[in-house]
Amino acid sequence: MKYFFQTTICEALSERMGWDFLVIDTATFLADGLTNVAARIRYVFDRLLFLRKCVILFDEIEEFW
Amino acid sequence: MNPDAMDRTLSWIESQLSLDIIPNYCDPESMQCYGKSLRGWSSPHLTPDIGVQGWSTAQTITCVSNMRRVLTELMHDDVLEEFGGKKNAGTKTSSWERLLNSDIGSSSSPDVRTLKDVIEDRIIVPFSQTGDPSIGASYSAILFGPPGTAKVCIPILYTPLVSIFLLLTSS
Repeated sequence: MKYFFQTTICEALSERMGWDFLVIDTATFLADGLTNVAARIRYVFDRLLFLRKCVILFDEIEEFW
Repeated sequence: MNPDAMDRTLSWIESQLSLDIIPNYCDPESMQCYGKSLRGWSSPHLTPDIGVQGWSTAQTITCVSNMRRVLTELMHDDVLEEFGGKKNAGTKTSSWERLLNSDIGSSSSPDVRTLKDVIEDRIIVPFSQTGDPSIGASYSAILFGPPGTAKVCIPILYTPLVSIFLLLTSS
């Protein structure tokens, strides 16, 4: 339900603004396995910097803290 | 976009860049004269020694900035596709209006504000204007609360057991 709530706010916000919408969750950071998380995070953020006018939801990201 | 055509255009731009020296720039204070450099482009069908031309330079810069815009769009689409994002063509207000609102902080406080109000003020309005958003605009928001609190539309109908906080940060 939490996921649904946050997705609803962010997605509705992106539609309201006419911006694109993207969800980055823990699976995105774990795509290359646990041992490569640091490199993967660097890669993901390098890629995200190319986005313009986009709402990005970092979901359940506190799991990394 | 045709990569060959882009390659040819870029090679042309790189090879035609030329440098002119204006030799007669004199500094009245030190009484010394320096050469001053001028970078730009000239069209190849003009005589070779004609030097940097305003018109050709303007055309080249327009071309480069258009190319930059197209590449930015292509990169954006590429990244969006890689992470499974969603494209929104144009503004659609229906789901925003359907979204139920909630108080931020204590409902009994006189200066209580609502989630949608704050997002409207700090994100939607500043980023919908042309140009860079002004001071006070938020590039990010942290939505957090204990598990189970964030049910889709709670706070309007009854007092939630735990508040949902919205923290807006400027960066």
